[in-house]
Amino acid sequence: MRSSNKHLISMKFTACVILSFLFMSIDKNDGHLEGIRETIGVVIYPLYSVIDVPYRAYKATMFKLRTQIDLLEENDALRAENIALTLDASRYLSIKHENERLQKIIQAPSVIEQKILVANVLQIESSHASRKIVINKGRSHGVYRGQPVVDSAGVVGQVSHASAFYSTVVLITDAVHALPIVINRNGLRSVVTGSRKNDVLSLDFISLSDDIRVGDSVVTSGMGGVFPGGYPVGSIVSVESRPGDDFQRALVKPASKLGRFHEVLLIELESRRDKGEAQKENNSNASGTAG
Amino acid sequence: MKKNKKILIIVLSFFCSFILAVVPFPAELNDYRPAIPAIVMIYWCLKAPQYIGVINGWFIGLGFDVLHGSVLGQNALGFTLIAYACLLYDSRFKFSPRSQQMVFVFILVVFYIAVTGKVSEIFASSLFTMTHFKGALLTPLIWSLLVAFFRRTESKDNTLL
Repeated sequence: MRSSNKHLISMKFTACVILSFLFMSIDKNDGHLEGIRETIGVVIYPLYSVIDVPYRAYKATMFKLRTQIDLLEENDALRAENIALTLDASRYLSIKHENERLQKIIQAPSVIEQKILVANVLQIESSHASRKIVINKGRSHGVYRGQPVVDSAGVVGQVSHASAFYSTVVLITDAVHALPIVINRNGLRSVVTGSRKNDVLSLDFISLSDDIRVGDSVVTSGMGGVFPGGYPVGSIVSVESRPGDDFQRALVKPASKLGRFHEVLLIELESRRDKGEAQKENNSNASGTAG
Repeated sequence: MKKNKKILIIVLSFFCSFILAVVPFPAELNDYRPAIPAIVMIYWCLKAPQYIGVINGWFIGLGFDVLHGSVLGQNALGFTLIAYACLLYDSRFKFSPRSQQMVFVFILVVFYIAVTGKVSEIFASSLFTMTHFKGALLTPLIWSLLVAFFRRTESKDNTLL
């Protein structure tokens, strides 16, 4: 290799390394590089469908190949579940009316109605250190950055990046995610953060005098403005207070399947829809992933 | 071989490696998932340095970052380092025996995993542990497969026809 050539390569190399670090430090803090992600995504995102199509075809084939006995059994199970759910729903309706009456008395703003969008989870393995999933709904379906994502059991995460047809969802167990919660039993408010351990949330900075027990169920408090209140987050599996510490620490096991389900639900808040032009304040709503 | 055809082969091989990098694996095997895009990168840097160099490597890495959902620039940095190391070692690589080539590739992949892992620990607050290096274990196997697969495209001096 000639020395001038070598020199050129070294210069290119240095430039690329500097650019990489620049990109990473910008991307770490905020979504200023969404445009670049979007542009590259035009080439890259079709690969998602290449991976997802065989899996979906497999699922569809297996669905077609089921026997009548299986279907009858499933029908029975669903019918039983339906009866139980109908009963619950009728009770819920009366409670809802009562709640509305009471809220009128204390003149609280009425409960926000929510619109729900079902999305499929693509079978994509993202970098195993950060906990993210990819779903097949994007901006063209009305998905916006910071939109809460739940499944039938509880909170899954929030949309961290929405491109035209796909969105990335950061799970509540990701180390950078924080979620305002309330403990159901006594109304104690706090914030759970993702942890670096597998699939648990950590609840730090609970003062020693606070009453917190293993088995307490934890729901969203709706304080951060991203998640609506009352969605189940999980239950406390361990409480630990070391002598000399000022706080106790607890671990929360998530209630949801964290995207291992095939379907997740995207919640669109009424307040959000009223504003109409969702795009403009995307950044202000969800700068940083903290919920 | 025509120039367009060569570029097509390179692009397709990268696409395939990208797909293999994000296709779902059983959970117990996931730690051993080899860093195939990095190995393909090394391969083309050595065999077709006229097409794949530092700059192109950077852009390919950026594409992989978008696909993988990692911090933008993480794999771009990794691929740039790989390309630079390959270009420096290029002349010696051609004349070294096959076993030595494999050792070189293995060390490069370990280096790549270390750099990207550490960088994502800093910029994406993810945990970097020794288990990440399990991904390098299958490197010699993948490298041999790659060499065998592309043997037909090689000319006598070990470069792309």
